[in-house]
Amino acid sequence: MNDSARRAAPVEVVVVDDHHLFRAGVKAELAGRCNVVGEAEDPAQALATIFATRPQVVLLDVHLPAGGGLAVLQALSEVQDAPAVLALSVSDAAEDVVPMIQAGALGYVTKTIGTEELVTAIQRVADRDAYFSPRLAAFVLQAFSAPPLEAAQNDELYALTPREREVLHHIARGYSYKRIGLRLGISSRTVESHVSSVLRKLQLSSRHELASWAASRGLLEQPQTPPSAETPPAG
Amino acid sequence: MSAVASPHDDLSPQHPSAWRPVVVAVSLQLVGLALLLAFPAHAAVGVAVAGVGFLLGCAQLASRALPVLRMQPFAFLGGALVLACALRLLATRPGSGRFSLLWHLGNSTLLSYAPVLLAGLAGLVLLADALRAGLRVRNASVPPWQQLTSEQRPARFYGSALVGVALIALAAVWVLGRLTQFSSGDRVLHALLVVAVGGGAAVVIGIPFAVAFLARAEQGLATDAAEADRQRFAAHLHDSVLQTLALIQRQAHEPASVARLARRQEHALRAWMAGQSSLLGDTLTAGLRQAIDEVEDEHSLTVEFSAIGDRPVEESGEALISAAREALRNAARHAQVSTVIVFAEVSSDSASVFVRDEGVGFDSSCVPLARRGLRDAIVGRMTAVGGSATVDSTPGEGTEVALHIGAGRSKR
Repeated sequence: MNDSARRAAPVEVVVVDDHHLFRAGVKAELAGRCNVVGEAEDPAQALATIFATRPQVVLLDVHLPAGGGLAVLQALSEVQDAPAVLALSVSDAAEDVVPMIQAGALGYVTKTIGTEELVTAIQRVADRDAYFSPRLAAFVLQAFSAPPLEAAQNDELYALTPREREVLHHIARGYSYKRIGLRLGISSRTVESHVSSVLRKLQLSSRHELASWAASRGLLEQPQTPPSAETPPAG
Repeated sequence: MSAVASPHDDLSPQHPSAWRPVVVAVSLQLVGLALLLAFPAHAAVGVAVAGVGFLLGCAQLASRALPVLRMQPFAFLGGALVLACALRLLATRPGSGRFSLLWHLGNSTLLSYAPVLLAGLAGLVLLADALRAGLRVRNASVPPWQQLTSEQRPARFYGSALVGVALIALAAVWVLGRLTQFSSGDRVLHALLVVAVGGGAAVVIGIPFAVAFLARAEQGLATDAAEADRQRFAAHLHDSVLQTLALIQRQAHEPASVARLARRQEHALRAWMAGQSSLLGDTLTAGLRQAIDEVEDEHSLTVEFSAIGDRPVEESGEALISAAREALRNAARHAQVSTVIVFAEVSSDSASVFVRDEGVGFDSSCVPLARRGLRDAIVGRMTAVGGSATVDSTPGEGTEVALHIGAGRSKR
């Protein structure tokens, strides 16, 4: 809440959801707390709206027609200064949520979230910090012990450190960053950096998996040739 | 019988190439006849050649005969019968008169079979026409045979189809009857002929029917299964979602209970969609979810539950679930919060449940008498099954109850 007091202007938000009623509801809920600058109901419209309005945060539904939220995240990953994305879903399934985080969403909340918590999440994400709800923390812990990530886990670069695991575990149990810091004897800023590093590992560890996941659903063109020496690096 | 001309009937007889197969058929029959006359000892060859020609001719002429047949079916059949009787008379050995040049032939196989073949042909024509009349109504663009052997059930047939079948059967009986009159050598020849032609026809006609029958049966089973599924879904939705919606309408003036009802239904529906309803109570997380639902119902409480892993419930698991239920009740009664977070971490060799609230908390060193339930119901229960329970609480900062058990022992 201190963040919101410090902030001069309300966070600018674009809401992407294919249910009109839900968009209207979120808009009404956020009135006075955040500035909803645009709405969209499918990936193409979402990208157009995002490029036109340049919001700080995109509230992105996981289940969208024509490619889902993942398509939007894929497109935004190619863009400089992309807005922060907070994934939003009625789904409780890890297999829906974890790919969104792996594709670059900074947080995930369910659609039943309370207004206060939603505003907090939006502000956290606007500051480019990860927002891990207890359930997301549980999903991520699960993802790091699930078979697809096990190969990456053997790689020290991608494996969770015991401290990171401990932090995630506390988040899953419902502790706030501040309380986690107190319990573990570290600052809440350090807790935050642990969470960010978990997020980064999650994204890195499965980049190629995600690419094939997306390709298998026709969201992404599978790279046909490995990058060769003559190819200039993509800017 | 329908008076409408079938689209198959406009095969133009004027077109010269249309008659070519008929010419071939007639030539074949003539060649067969000549062979029969020239080599009576090798009658089988002649019969076979003439038979092929006869069948070819029938196949060609049947489609042309159909319009006539459709207009005057009984006149046509009557004519065919008269013709058959005449041929039969010619072919039969006359009592005393020797008027027939065909006597030699009559003693052979070809002409003695003529009436039989004619009867069979008439039956086939009747049957085919009935099928066409019955099927054309449904879908003119699909050939009758394809319709008949498609996965959809064909339309009803007419009585004439039955007459056709009866005629064919009569012909078959006739043939079988004749077989007994021959000497053993001839009998083998005739039997071979009948078996070859009949068996071939049966296989050619029967296989598509059998395939279609199997496909229809399979489709029927699938339809039944889908219907059973739908009924199961409907029953479930009726018992759950519709009941809840009715309750919500009646309690619309109480937002808190509406929210509780909606949340409870949401949990139930999710669990059901995830396929847990059949296992409800059989696994640790399913049991925990059930306990959470109970407490949410009893007290106006929101529980945010997440779980990693799962395993079947055994004795210590049951203790874990009831201890968690007790911890939730404690939080609901004393913590003065609206939300409690439950996190479960389950593997085959250990299981932990954390029940946490950010409520008023208490000083663990001096538990008030009223909160003895915590110690007895939770700690006692857990230690009884070889598990452990720790209560971590700070006044003003909330309470966390952590429950642990080891590997489960099987109940049985």
